[in-house]
Amino acid sequence: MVDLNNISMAVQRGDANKTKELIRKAFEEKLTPKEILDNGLIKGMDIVGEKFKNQELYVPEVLIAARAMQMGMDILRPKLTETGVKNIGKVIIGTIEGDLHDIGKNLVKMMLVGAGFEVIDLGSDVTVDKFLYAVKEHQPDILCMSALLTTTMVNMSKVIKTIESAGLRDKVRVMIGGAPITQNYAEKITADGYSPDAASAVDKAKELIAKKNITGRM
Amino acid sequence: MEFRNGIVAGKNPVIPLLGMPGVKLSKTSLKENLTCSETQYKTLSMLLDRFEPDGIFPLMDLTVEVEALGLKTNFPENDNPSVSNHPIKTREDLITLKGNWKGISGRMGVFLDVMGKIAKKYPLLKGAYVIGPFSMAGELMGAQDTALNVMLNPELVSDCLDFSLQVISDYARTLFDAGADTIAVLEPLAVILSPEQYKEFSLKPFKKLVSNLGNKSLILHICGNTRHLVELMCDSGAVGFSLDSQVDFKALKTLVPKDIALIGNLAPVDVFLNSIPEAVEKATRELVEDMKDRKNFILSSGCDIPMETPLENIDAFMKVARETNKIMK
Repeated sequence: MVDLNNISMAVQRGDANKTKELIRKAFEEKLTPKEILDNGLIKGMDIVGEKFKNQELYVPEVLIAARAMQMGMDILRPKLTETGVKNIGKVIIGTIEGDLHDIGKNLVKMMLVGAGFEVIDLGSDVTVDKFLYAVKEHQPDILCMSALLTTTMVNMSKVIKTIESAGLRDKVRVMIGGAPITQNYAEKITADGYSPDAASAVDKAKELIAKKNITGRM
Repeated sequence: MEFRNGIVAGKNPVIPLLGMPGVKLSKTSLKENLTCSETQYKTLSMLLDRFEPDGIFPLMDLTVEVEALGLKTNFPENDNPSVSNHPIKTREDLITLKGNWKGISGRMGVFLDVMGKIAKKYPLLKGAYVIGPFSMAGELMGAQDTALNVMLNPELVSDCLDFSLQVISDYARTLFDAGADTIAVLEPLAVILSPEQYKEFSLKPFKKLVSNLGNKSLILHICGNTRHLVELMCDSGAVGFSLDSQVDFKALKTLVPKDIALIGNLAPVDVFLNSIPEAVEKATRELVEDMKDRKNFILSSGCDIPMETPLENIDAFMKVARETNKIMK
């Protein structure tokens, strides 16, 4: 009998092979994809996120855990789709125009996937128009933008203004992050959320989704 | 002015990391400054004339060393250049790349020339920059792959560090020869490491760098919240720590031995860039008050001051620095 806790442990250790092996076994034993996701992969990444926030784990450990989780997701996803399991929310993410750095953005993306979000990754050096087009096309609950440079962070404000002009601002919540970003800056450019690290980004995203579920709108 | 290990003795100096706002002052572009020594010298001279700091560093550029090895960069007119491809995936890739190192080359010459010109004219503390070994390994392999390789392929990381160390040592030696009093080793990527990983992949090569350079004056600069690394950094052999605004300097007063200068740490974005002179004055006063009983404190910004920073904000910072220097030990 596969103990889902062992899947969680394998994710936490960043052991991709063990994660995949245990998921396959769980399939054979007729565990539901939803159970495997919630009590195996998500639980594992949840603990990793918590330890990251408390500085018990650091970026390299988080990255290999996220890699194991992602490899697990690759074999789990088709089954999830088959059984009609829904994501907890849809997120678009990208590093802002002019910025090629993407380690922070990738970390947030992996943590969001690990928490059960559907994430559409636009990559790095994403133009204002590309963000706008993606919001129109995918209608996400949340738009996440990242910047590492003080020279590129100003483009975040442009994205928010463009979405406003397109009449879409009340349809999507905007979260921002990256080394030079602060809560003050987020407020100044009217972003809905800021988080200083990837694990808190997940909390913030969940908080924004919960608000939406209560009010019925973003 | 007297220097001890390249750090100013006998007073509490003020040395903001100023390069970028100078671009506005000299009405040039960032790219012109990073590719032409005449332009950068003019920019730094204008900064020195206007703000009269106790020391000067050149414009920050983390691509100089790897560009000299042939790595491709994305180089906008008014933005920091960044490396656009990270070629090292295997040991074989690294062996090929090693063949590209022919000694001082590329834009290293620009920075050496600037140092020579400044040294000839200005009797103040002259700092230079080099990239840190772990951050250079990060440029060679890409930041994310480097972080993954710390766990999955530490041998490749070590090999990249050895090679990086060789390039950095060669460059640093010539910067000292050109007149640098001290060199700040920029190691931004180290902030992602756990204390144990930092010890192996950043501190160890840093100590080797100190020894390669015959114990010359090196400052260690790591951006972001480095509180988890500070105790270990004390063993680095650096004469000063230049740390970012997320670190509480008050807490470091007793933690860091007095023979290591604490350099910092007003927030580049919240205090300098997105602020007004009154707020800059207030933040500067508060920091000086916090640090007044710490010998060997150099008032500065936590990291490079952004290009679009209003010059009046830097004026405000310098004004308070001058007024309050009297109350410092």
